Amino acid sequence: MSGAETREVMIAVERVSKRFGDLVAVSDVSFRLGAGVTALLGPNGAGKSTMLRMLSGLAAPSEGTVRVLGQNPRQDIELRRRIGLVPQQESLFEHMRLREFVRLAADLSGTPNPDTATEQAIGTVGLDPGDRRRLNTYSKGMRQRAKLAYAIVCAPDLLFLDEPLTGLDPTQRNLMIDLFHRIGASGRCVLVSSHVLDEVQRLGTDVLVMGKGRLLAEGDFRRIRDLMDDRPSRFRITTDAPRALAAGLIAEGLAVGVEIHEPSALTVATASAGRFAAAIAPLARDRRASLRELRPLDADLESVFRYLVEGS
Amino acid sequence: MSHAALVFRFMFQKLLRGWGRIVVLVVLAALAIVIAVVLRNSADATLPEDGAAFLVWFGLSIVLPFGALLIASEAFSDLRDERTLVYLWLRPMRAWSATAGAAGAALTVVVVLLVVPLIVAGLIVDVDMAAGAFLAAAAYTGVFLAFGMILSRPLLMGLLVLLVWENVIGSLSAATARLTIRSYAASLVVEGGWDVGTPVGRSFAASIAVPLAVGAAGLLLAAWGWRRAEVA
Repeated sequence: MSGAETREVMIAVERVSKRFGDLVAVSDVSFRLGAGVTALLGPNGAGKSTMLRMLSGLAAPSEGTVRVLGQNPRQDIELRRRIGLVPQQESLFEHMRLREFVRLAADLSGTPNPDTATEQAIGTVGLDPGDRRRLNTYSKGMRQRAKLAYAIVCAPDLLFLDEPLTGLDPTQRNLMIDLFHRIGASGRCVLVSSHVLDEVQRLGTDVLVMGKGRLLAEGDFRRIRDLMDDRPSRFRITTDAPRALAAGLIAEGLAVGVEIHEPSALTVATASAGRFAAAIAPLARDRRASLRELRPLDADLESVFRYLVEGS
Repeated sequence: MSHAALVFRFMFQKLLRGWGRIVVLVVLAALAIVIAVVLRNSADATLPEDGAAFLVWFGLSIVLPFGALLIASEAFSDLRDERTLVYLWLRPMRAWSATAGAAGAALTVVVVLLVVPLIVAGLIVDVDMAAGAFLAAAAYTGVFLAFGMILSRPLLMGLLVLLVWENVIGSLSAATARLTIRSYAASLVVEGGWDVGTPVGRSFAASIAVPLAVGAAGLLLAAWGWRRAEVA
């Protein structure tokens, strides 16, 4: 399960595939999710939206099973009360005003005190409940937030967001990411799809990585990186004696490749990041090299993502 | 407010926003009234028989079915095309609530825009159009609502059904006319031995029951389509 193993399973996906004619959109995917924020990462066409649609019950798997809170989201109508979805498409009920739009969701969901819930949901996403304009006048960023208000007005236990940060300015993005974290921290399951690595990194460390319809990896992306034993880890070292340190690393068998950047840096590729990390300080002392900076170059999500997707 | 009522209100407002369609229907309905007035004041026309022939041809064969197609088929297909069906589908609502609400809204629009003017036109030429027009509206609305839910090109398919089924097949013989909605609705309009250019003569009970059954079948089909829909 992505994230803490002790969390209650809220979503269980078992060997799910989805085909559209000859096109395989999702292929043999299994994972489990609990409360908290998880990023669903993958390039366009990876199958993220299809997966979110199956989790919401909007589409039926061709094979395999999807269970949300123990139920089949395709068949259990009452379960829909506990699911909020922000779809990728921009379209809204254009003839409505924001308040009418969000209130419709509250009413259809049987939300208690729908007026209050509507105001709260609209306020939470940073829009004005008193806005009299119709939705067809809204900007892309406002549409994203209107969709989010529609999704959260019934206080769902599961919130699925398909590229929700598209079209938002940096301030709005920060507000939304904070909101996702708040919702996740309140014991709910938040699954956010994105193909933008920077966004995902700010959403947290739990990821599901999809590529070409398959689940390529799941869990903490730093742990995923550690498991990539067949690929050397790279570090950049800033030191006053790069040549001496490079010679020592090769002599000790700690490096499978070294690139010196005169006058004060080198990039090291190592097959064993753990052994390298333990040995670098004593080695520098022995070689009379002063370590000023030691920075992993590919422990970030982008590196993990590229490796997984390019290799898929 | 029930789910069906919420969908009704939503859909009614939405359908009334389709100005292009509304204008076309209002013009057609107004035309029926204008021609009825002309017939009323014509020395050549034999009323009410000529009035009934006109209203069966223009009202029940053209205005009502095509108007119901424009309104009812677009109720769900618009949402599918705009990819906004997700906002309704993902709420905890039974399929029949959604379809009944949408059907009610579409039927209301059809009745207000088309059935009422046809009744008025009928009154002008001494023909009682109320039951026939209303039941035809109910039948066509149910069928075309289902088309909008389950077919990818409901307008085109609806046009084919109206042209091929209702007009061509319905005109072949009295036997094949039994298969058309128009013949049942027309049977409620026509009295005695009037010749209205289309086979009539269905029993009163059948003329009531068949259009209602067709409309109900359309609703069931739409509800089935809602349940099995793969929503984008």
